[in-house]
Amino acid sequence: MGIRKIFVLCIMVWLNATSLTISQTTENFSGLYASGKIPKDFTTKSYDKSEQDYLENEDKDLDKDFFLSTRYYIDELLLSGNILFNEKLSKYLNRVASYTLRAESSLKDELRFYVLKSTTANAFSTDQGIIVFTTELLAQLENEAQLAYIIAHEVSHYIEHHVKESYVERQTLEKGKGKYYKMDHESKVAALSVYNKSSEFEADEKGVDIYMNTEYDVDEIYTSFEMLLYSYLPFEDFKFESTFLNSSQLIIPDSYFIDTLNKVSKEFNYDDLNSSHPNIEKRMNNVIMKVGTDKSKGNKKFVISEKEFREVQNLARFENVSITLSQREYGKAIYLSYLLQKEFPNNRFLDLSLVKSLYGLAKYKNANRFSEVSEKPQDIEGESYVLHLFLSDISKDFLNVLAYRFAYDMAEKYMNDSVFKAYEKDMKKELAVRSKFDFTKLKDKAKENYLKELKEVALDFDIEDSLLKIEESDMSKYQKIRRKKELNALRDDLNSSDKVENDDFYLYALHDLVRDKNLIDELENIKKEHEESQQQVETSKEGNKEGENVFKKIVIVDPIFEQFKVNRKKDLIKSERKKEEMSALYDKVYPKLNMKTELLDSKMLTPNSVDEYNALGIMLRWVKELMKHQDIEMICSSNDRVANVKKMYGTEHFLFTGAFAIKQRNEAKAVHFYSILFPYLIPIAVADLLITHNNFELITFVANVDKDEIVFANVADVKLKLHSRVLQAYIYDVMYQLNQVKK
Amino acid sequence: MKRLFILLCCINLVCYSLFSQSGYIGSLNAVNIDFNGITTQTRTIKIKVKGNDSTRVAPLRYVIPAFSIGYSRILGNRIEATASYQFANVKSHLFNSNINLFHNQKVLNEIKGRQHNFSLDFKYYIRGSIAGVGKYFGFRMQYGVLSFNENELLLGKLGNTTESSFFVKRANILSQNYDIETESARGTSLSLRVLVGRSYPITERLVLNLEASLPLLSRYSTGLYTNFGYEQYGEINDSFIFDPYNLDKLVIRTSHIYQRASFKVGIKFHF
Repeated sequence: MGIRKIFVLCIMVWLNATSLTISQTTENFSGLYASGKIPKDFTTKSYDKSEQDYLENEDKDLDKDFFLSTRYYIDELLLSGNILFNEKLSKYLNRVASYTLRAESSLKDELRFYVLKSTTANAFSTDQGIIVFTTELLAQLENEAQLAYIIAHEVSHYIEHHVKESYVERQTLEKGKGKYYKMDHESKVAALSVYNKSSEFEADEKGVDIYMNTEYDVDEIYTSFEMLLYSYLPFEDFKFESTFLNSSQLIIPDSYFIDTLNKVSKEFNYDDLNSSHPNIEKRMNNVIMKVGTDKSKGNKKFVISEKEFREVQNLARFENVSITLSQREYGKAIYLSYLLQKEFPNNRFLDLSLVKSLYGLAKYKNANRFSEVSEKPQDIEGESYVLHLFLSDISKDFLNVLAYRFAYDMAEKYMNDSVFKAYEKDMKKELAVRSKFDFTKLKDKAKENYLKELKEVALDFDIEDSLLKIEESDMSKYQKIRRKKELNALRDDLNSSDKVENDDFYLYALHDLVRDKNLIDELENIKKEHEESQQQVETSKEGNKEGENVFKKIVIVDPIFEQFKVNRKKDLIKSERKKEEMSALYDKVYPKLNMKTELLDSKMLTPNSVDEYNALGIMLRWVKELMKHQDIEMICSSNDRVANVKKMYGTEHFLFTGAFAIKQRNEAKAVHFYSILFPYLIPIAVADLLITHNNFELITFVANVDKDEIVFANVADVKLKLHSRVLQAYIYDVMYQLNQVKK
Repeated sequence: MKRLFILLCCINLVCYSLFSQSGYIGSLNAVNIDFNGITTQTRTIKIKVKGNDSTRVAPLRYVIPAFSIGYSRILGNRIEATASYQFANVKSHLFNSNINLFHNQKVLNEIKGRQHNFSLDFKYYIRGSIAGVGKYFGFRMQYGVLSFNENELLLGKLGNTTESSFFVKRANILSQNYDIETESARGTSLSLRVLVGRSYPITERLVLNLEASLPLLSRYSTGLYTNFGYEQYGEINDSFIFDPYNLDKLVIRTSHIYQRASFKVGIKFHF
């Protein structure tokens, strides 16, 4: 092999290691990421888009505000890092769309199809020709034909200009013109709802027209409506097996899993009075009438590729597990993992998701915040009800033992995997310290063996007799107390074994570790170490002013800027411009500070910065989760993904910041009216009411991706007008404070 | 006064050690050049002698200009200290001074003087501002010296005001009698003032500063020269002897006037 080839190979290996756009498969799933060149929709400034579209617009009913609001809204979504393009899912979506729209090829050129990572089943189109499908919708679809019909439906909205018309209608309503003249509020809302529903009917019908030009089975139009009706449920509704959470050493009694179900309640003719969409029954009837006259019916469920569809569907389902975890819906994540494990047993991602779910539940239970992450079982419909009921019923101790058992078993299964090891280690600490679990109660034998041995002991000697003998013996006072204590404990054990209760079965779940690995000693050591380290933290709180800088390099992640007008509406144009200015101020080199900064900004993307785009999505998801955990010290579910971003930027410190500028006037109070009594004060009162007060808030925090914690936070409530230099002074102050933090 | 000064110094030393300071975009030090306007309760009159008929026209002024230069240092995140020197050309205020020198004769000319103030300011930026930029209040310890030049005192018999308007006051002088030279009259003052102000950033280095200050506590003295008077001309005449008390009063009174509410517009250059 020539040197040149080796060099190229090395470069490729390096690129693979640092790139976030690695190939996505269910076998080695690590997340869905956009790939290739970033489309123009993402790299053009919102203001430029709105300005250009406004100038090209021929519809006189549309004002500038329409273009501004729609462009800014969709750009916020596009630049969230959660959109997929040029990868398997969107490529497949585009192929199905191309086929569905083959009769109108020019139309296809106007449209751009993207996939949004979201656990809400939805699809929508914009007047710009952007059509977005969510991963949950792809996960719920049963076949390609259903996908084709939904594409046709969304394209119909675009063709019929429903977004534009809906905006004009809302404007008419707000101004009380036309048919809304002198209508009360409720009548206006009802009228608008009727209008929106008529748009949906129209899109359904037009969608049928487009769909009929394909070879897809017409019946799949109806099933797609059914799919949408039940899309709030998991993608399958299989019975949850009580043995799923068992391990070799932990058998959960069946009594924990009830047989009754919370039935699925939603019907086809649900109340749609306040909905923008008609109910499914009405839509199906409308479509049946439309299709009824058309004779040309196809019969295919797949045209492009069934294999590809399944692959896309599974990838979407895998990604949704990941999103569900970051949304802290741990019970749901267990059920989804359970469903997927039927098809993908021994899948690393799914095993890890289970560990993460149980770990998360234990953490929140120990912090007495379990209600935040568990859904009320009565609200859960379908088969997953059993699992949710189980999770809400089990005790804190049981949950901790269960979570540790899983973490340990998986760490053993994936021996060389540091991610599993990290969860096992932290769960062990949880068991030792934070759970307040009396781990000395853990048994060193399996339950059946333990009971058997107890009975054998009972046969060997009489406890009451032994107690009497101790009383009479010449042992010291302390020896007597100790012996009597042991015998009483043995008697309690024997009594409890007679009852054969299920309550304490989990105490035997770690018996192999207690016996072979000295788990109790290990837990005790962890507890001691923790207490010692706590004391050290207390004493070293004053900090070191001479040490090395903690923050040598910081990545500033997508600064947020929101400017609000006096009428509390967001000033979209200023917000975008000031955001750019703010990013530049953060990215500026301040010679007096010994700190490097790098900017990861959604508004500075270029066609080639797809890695930055993906990194942005990862970081924003991670930080949202981190914020929700608040004071719970735990590994974020997306920590393993964030590790890749850390490698990419070469630092573990990421700064998140946002400025929110508000203009407001004082509200009229009684004191203003009293000024009438003193005429000289009237001008002052009027001035006090008219003068606008400017203030802004600059929120900054730095998070450490290694520790999954916020290591620096600063909130500046500034009562000044947002002048660039004022902002710079505050930004510099934040950077200075960061620079002062020493090891 | 001494105790208050010590207390203020202690508070400042404690406060500034509590906060780490980033300065204004990294600059802790600044040089400031200010234009001050000092209000006069008694309208200041600039008198010009018009011809020999001794008619005096006096334009009225409400604000006297003064200039200052100083050095500022940001001590804490919301604390700033400034040391400055202020200079003003001042004039005595005679029209309503009621300094009756002798036989119903009065000092007709304003006496030109110089005022030198040395001050030390402690500024506390209010919540929502950061040292160097924003709104602040504070205290100023000010030591001032007012000295009248060796100008001639013009004595004369002053008639009633014959004409006046909002901006101009006119007076007829019945007779002008003597020109008298004085020793340099000098008075010192020590005062504690309160400040409120606001700094507007212009560039990364320049800050525009607007400030108002009011005296809180003041102490005046007539300094070294306690026995003011004039050099006698010609023969010794009892009628020419001034009552030194009246000149002391004049100095103190003028000091009072020049230490009323003052407004400041200035530029701070940070480095």
